[in-house]
Amino acid sequence: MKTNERQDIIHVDDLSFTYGNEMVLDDLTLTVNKGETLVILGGSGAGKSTLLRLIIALIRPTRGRVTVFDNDIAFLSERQLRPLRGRMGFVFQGGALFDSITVAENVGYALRIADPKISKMEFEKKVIETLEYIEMRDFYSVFPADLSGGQRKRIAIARATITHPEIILYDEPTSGLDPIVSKRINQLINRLRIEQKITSIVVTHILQDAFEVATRMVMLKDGRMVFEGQSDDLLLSKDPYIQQFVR
Amino acid sequence: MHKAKRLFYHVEQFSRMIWATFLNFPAFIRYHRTTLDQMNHLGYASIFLVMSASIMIGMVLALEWGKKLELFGAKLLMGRIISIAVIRETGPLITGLMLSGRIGASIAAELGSMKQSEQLDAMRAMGADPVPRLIVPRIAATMITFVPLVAIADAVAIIGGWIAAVVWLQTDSTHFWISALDGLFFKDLTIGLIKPFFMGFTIASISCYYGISTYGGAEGVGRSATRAVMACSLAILFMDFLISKLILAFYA
Repeated sequence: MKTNERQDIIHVDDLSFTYGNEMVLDDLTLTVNKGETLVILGGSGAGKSTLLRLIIALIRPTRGRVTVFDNDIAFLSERQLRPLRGRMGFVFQGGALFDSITVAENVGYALRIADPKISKMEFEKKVIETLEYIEMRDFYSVFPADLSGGQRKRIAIARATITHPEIILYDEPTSGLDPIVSKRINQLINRLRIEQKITSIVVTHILQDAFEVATRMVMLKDGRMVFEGQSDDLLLSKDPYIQQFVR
Repeated sequence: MHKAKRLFYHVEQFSRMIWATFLNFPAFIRYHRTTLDQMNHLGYASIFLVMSASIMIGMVLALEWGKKLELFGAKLLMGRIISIAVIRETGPLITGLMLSGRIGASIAAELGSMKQSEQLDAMRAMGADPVPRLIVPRIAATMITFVPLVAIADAVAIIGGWIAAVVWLQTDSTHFWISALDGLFFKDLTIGLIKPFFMGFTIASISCYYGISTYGGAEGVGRSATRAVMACSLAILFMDFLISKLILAFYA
C-alpha cells in the first residue's frame, strides 16, 4: 500500500451514493487533513453516516472516488482493505460492542486481529493501558450488557484507539447522552487529537458538541455540502438552512 | 428492487458466502472455542427436543404399521419396517425439521441482531472477516453435532417403536429386535449417516445467510428468523429427497 507525507490523507472526489432510488450523497468533494478533527454536521438523512461508511469502505460508492492514504478504496477487495482498515478506527453510533465477550476482550479485539500470536501478558498490558487512558480500568471483566450508554461509547473509543490508528471515524459519539457525559466524550476526542495526533472525522447533529471538538466543519443537507470552513464562519453564514440549524 | 432481480441478488450473495465458507473451513479449528460453544448451544441443548420427538414418532410408526401388518399376519416384520423407516428416512427427516426450527431461528436471530447492532460492520471495520469467525464455526458445529443427534434420534425412535409394539400390540420383544437388526443393510446406514451431514450444512448455511442479510431493526430480526425456519424446512425436505434418490441410484 502506498502512503505519502502530504497533509491531506483522505480525498473524497465527486462522490455519489444512491440507495434504491434515493440519492443519499450527491457529488460530494472534500479533503481531510492530517491531525485535524473534521466535524460533519447535518440533520437526519443528510448522508453523514453514509459518508463515514464510504470512507472505510463498508459500502461502495455509486459514483466517484474515495482515496485514503493515496489508495482508491472503492475498488479494493475486502482482503486488500484489511491493512488500510488497520490504520483506521471506527466508533459506531451504538458502540457496536460484542455482547458475548468482556470489555477487555472487546477493547483488545483489534490487537488480536493485528497480531493473532500476541502473548497473554502483552494483550493484558495494552488493554489495561487503554482502559486507564479512558479512566475505565475497573470495567476490565464487565460484560457490555452491564454498561451505561456513555460507558459503551467510551469503550468503543478505547477499542478504536488501542492499535494507535492514524484516523478515527466517530459516528454520532454523543447522541443519546446527557451533557456531562457528552462533555467527557468530547474531551476524550480532543485528548486523542492533541496527545496522539490522531486525525478524526466526527459525524454529529449536535451543534454544541461540534463546536467543542471541531478544528474544521462541513455541513451536509440532502447529500450535498452546504458549508465548509471554520466554526466561527458557520455562525456568520447567511445560508437560511444553516441559520435555521445554528439558531 | 424487482422480485426476479432480488432473487438473483440473494442467490449470488448466498453463493459467495458458501464459497467463502469453503475457502475458510479450516478456521473452525482456529476458532475452536466458538465452535465448541456452538456445538454445546446448538447440539447438546437440542438432545431433549430430538429425543422427545423421536420417541413419539417411533411409537406412532409401530402402532400404525402394527395394525396393518396384523391383517396380513406379518406382525413379526414390524421391527424390520420400523428400523428401516427410522434409520433411512424418519430419523434424519424429523431431526432435520425439528432442528430447522430450533437451530435455524437461533442462528438467524443471533447473527441478525449482531447485524442490526452493527457488530458485523465493526468486525469488518477492524479488518476482520466475519466468515471464518462467525459463520464457519456455526456451520461446522451444526454438521458435527447433527450426525450424533440423528443417531440418538434413530435409537430412541426404534426404542419407542419397540415399547409400543410390546406394550400395545403384544409383539414378542426378542422377535422385534431380531427383525429390526436383520432388516438393516450397509446401504441403510449409509443413507442414515450421509443425510444428517448435508442437512446440518444446509440448515446452518441458510440460517447464517438470513442472519447476516437482516435489515429493518427488531422487526427485521424476527422476519429473518421466521424466513430462515421456513427456508430450512423446505430445503431439508428437498435434501432428503435428493440424497435418497442419489444413493438409491448409486446402489442400483
